[in-house]
Amino acid sequence: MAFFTFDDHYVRRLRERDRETLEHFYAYFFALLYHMVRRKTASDDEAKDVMQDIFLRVLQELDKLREPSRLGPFVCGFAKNILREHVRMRRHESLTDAPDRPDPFNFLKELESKEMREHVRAALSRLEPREASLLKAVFLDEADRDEICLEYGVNRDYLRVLLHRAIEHLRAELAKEPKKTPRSPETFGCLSALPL
Amino acid sequence: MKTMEHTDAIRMNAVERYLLDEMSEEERAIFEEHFFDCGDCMAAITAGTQLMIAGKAVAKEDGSQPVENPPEIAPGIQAGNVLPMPARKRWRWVPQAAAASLLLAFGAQIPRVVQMVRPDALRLSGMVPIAVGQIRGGPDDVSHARPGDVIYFDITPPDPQAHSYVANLNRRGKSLDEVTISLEHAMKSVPLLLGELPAGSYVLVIESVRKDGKRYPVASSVIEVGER
Repeated sequence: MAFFTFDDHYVRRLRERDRETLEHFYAYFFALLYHMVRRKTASDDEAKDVMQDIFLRVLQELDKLREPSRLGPFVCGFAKNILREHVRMRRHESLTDAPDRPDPFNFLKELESKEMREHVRAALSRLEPREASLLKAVFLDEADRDEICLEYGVNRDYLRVLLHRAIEHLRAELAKEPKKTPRSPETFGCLSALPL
Repeated sequence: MKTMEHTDAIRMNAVERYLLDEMSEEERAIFEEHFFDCGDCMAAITAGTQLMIAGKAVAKEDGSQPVENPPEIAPGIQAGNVLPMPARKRWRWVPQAAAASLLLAFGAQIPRVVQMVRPDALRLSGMVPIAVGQIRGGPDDVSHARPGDVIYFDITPPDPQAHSYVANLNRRGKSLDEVTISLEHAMKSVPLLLGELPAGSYVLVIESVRKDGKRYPVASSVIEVGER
């Protein structure tokens, strides 16, 4: 997903809970928030609760956003506050309970989809088999990373370089996909701007 | 709170360190403020998250299959871990900064730094495989070192198809130890810390490792190891 410049149209559509805009919003921020939230929660379920809180709170407090272009830092600020508070109590309104609203955690399924796995396989195949094997061990997270490095006879610097290369390979793989129509800020809300 | 510029993020490998949980709480907080508002970092974090989540699923799927090329664990090598040096270790790769701090830390017992004589002795061999242990170059190519010395060498010119390099130390054709050198580190002078080795003549062979995992010797040099 490409970097997005948020504007008044986008934020307005978000306030109106436009489904398409909400989907974009969740997809855009899901991967950015995932590590931040997951490392401070004990399970995927707990992470799911916290992320729902974050998204819900951001949507509820959108009026406080003064500059639409600062939506990213705005979300980041809420995420940090909520994580700090570690609010777990159920809200009256649940994003998933509401009918016809996308579930933010659908994007986790998307990240694990067969298509994405194939992209990752292709990216890993561009590394040496031994390097790919090392990264997989890291992804599985079943052993301490220092132990993994020791087992493979590499150090943490090497691991970072490998991860960097794998990320670049994945981005190259994803870039091969036929591009979906880019949604410029102007395309958001252009339909609603038309007189009925 | 401090802020982070994109150049800082690149310099400190922030994306990789963030994804690998290697940042302090303060660094993490600063970087999070940054990447929510930086296109490049946002895209890299997104791709990194995709890689790690889907990669976990891929690893699970592949778990039942034999590893194509099982890791070769060279005896006595722990690359990047410099101190202390157990007696059984023959040599280690030392990152540049670690090598510098090693020199400071050793104080009075400072290990000698041996710049390989005639760095051009380590040159491309035209991709013609050479037998391990074959000595290229004349006697002038010999470097003298002792156990505990840090030796430096350059890989110039680099193999343009290399994905990484391997430095293999052998004696009389018998491989003793080897360490992997990333492309990033191969761009600088590569320091190696010699461990406990019996005095004698050794050959250092640098091999490039291509994408298909095949190795090609690119250079070699003789190291005469003396008594400590």
